[in-house]
Order: sequence, then C-alpha cells, then structure tokens
Amino acid sequence: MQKLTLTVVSQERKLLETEVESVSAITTQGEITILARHIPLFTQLKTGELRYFEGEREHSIVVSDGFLTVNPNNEVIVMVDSATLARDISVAQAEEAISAAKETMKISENRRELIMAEASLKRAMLEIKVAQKRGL
Amino acid sequence: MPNTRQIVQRIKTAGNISKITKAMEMVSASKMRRAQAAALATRPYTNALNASLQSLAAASSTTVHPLLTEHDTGVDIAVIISTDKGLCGSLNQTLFKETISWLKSHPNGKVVAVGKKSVGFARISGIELYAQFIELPDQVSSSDTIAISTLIREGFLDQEFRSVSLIYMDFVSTLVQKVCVQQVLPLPKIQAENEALVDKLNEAEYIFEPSAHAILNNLLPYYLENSVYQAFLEARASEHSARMVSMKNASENAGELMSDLRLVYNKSRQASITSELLDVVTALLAQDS
Repeated sequence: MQKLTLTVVSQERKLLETEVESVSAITTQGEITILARHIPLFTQLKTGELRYFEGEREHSIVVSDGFLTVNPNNEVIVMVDSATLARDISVAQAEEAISAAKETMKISENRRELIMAEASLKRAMLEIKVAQKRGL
Repeated sequence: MPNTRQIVQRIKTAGNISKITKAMEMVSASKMRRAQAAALATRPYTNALNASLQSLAAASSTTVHPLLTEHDTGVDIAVIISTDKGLCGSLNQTLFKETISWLKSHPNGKVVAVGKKSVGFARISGIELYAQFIELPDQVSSSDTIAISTLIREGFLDQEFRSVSLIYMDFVSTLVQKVCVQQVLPLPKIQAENEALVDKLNEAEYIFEPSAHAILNNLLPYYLENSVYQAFLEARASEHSARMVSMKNASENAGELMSDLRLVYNKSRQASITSELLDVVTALLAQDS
C-alpha cells in the first residue's frame, strides 16, 4: 500500500515529518480523511484534532487554524499557526505602541522646547552683557 | 617616566575590561548561533507558504486583494528594526543613515521604531514616530511580531498608509551585515516562478475548498506576517554577530594595550634598577678614592 508523507510546519519550525497511512483533519467544510493517491487538494483547517495512522498505530495532535495541502506526489503539508493567542491581543498591543510613540513625541517636544528656551535665555544674557559693556 | 604604580593600575584595568568584553563576546556568539538556527528553522514554513501562494495565484488568475493593490491616500511608513542595547559597532548608525535617506525620498513619511535605539534616534533628530515597540524578547517568535504586522496591515487597509517598508540589517555573514530596505505593502505581485510549474499545477488540477479566492484572502495576511518575522530574524542575527565582532575587537585592543603598558612598566622598572645601581657604584668609587 502506498504511503503518504505528512509534514506539519509552523512559523518557527518543522513540527513533524513522517510516513503515514492516512490523515484525518477537520476543515472549515467538515472532517476529511486523506488516503494515498488522494486528488490534489487545498483547504483550510479549523482548530481541532489532526489524526494520522502510522502503520497500525493511531496518533493525534492538536492543531490550530491553518491550511492543508495535498500535492500530487502523495505529500500532505499542514501549515499551522503557532501565534493564534498573540493574534487576539495584537490589536491592543498595536494601539499601545501608537500611544507609547505619542508619549515619546510629547516628551521629546518638551525637551526640545527646553533646549530652545535655554538657548534663547543664553542669547538674552549675552545681549544684556554686551549692552552693559557698551553702556560703560 | 610615569609612576610605576599608576602603570600597574592601568594594566589591571585593561585586564578587567578585556575579561568583560571576552565574556560578552562569548554570550553574543552563542546567541548568534541560536538566531541563525532560528532563521534556518523557518525555511520549511516559508517554502510551503510560497508554494501554496504560487499555486493559488495560478488557480485564481484575477488576484485582486486590498493587500495587493496600490492606493494613493495615506502616508509612507518605514519600520526600523534596531536593537534595544548598544555595543554592537556601527550597526544602528548604518540603519539610521539609511532611514534619513529614506525620509528624504519620502518627505511625508512616518516611522515605526522597533528597539530603544531607534526610539532615541527619532527623539533626538525630531523624526515623527507613528508607533514604537521596545523590549521585544531576544529569542523572537512569530507571536512577538504579530502586533507589528497587525498594525501595518490595519493601517494599510484603512488607507492610512500608502506603503510600508521595513528597514533592517540583513545578515550576510558574521562579518558582513547589509542594510536592507524592503517594501512589504502593497505586497509584491505573486507570480508563478516558471512556466513549467504552472503547467504542472494546471495538470494536477487542485480542488480548492471553499474556493481558491477565499483561501488566498486568508493566506495573504500570513504571508505578510511571515515577511515581517523573517526580517526580525535577520535583524537579530545581524545584531548578535555585530556585537560579537565588536566585542572581539575590544578584547584584542585591550590585550594590545596591556602588552604596551607592560613594556613601559618593565622599562621604568629597569630604569630605576639601573639608577640605583649607578648610585651604589658611585658611592663605592667615592669611598675607594
């Protein structure tokens, strides 16, 4: 019997690469099982269980949202998302970053004003000195 | 001749500095290896992503997606990926030079600063910051960069940004890092790399569930995130190798300084011995005569 090559990759690294008899996964359209010589397929996965048979033994892993590709040469590639949790808070983090930048801009503006004020003060002092010298 | 005790003190100081720089060099070396390994480990995902995008692009020939199309409203954004810590040679200076020239060609450009160094740089030179991200973990993972990709994606989709570029140090080798300006939004057009591949894909006749277009829409954000993440990995590898090299130079300089000082010390010691001997000999001769 022909075998499938199952590869599971996440953004950071390759999680799994093994020879299997069959792969079952939950797609957005419902659960599917892939055997060898499956028609080339491209589909989206839902968070859930990915089961595969390695010989007689059944294995199961939990996968997050991702994509599943079946290539013509009996290759199954599962791309999972290792950052689903971060995605939920990413908008809040982005907003935080924007407000932090505004804070920095404000501080640096204050500092620049301070420097400018200092410079004009020095200038005024000099002018007074010059005027006093001339007056003498 | 300088005071011998002062010289001994300076030799000690140089020795202590070289110990510290040596330690920092070794720490950076191990971090660099880890960063390089992390950059290599992402290759399977990137390859899978590119392959899927190519077959999707081949399948749905009209790829009109807001992330792919240009629009005229909004400002240009540059994301500068700098470091949080210093002591890494001219790495950040090179980045900032490139940023200034980028700002010259994009007069209404704004900057998203990553790393404390670029925040400080923007403050001093009065560059308008749009957002800042500091103290990202050293071993950066894709979840750490999601906030940045979300920020630029949302801004681009709201037509607040016209284009988004990343400015970072590209890791060429341990000794060479090149500054790199990479436009990430609008996304470069995805084209199947060669005709043969397209033919093969068409022959294979993929089934797309739910549809090629829907999958493409969902996949493109991942593509953006992945390019941002890749840039971060490159920047980290560059940072650590630049720090390693500059610390190595510092240790070597300290060693040189120590050997120079030791020479001066020995000379002055010899001089004092000679002069004492002279004294003794003169006194003896005076007694004899």
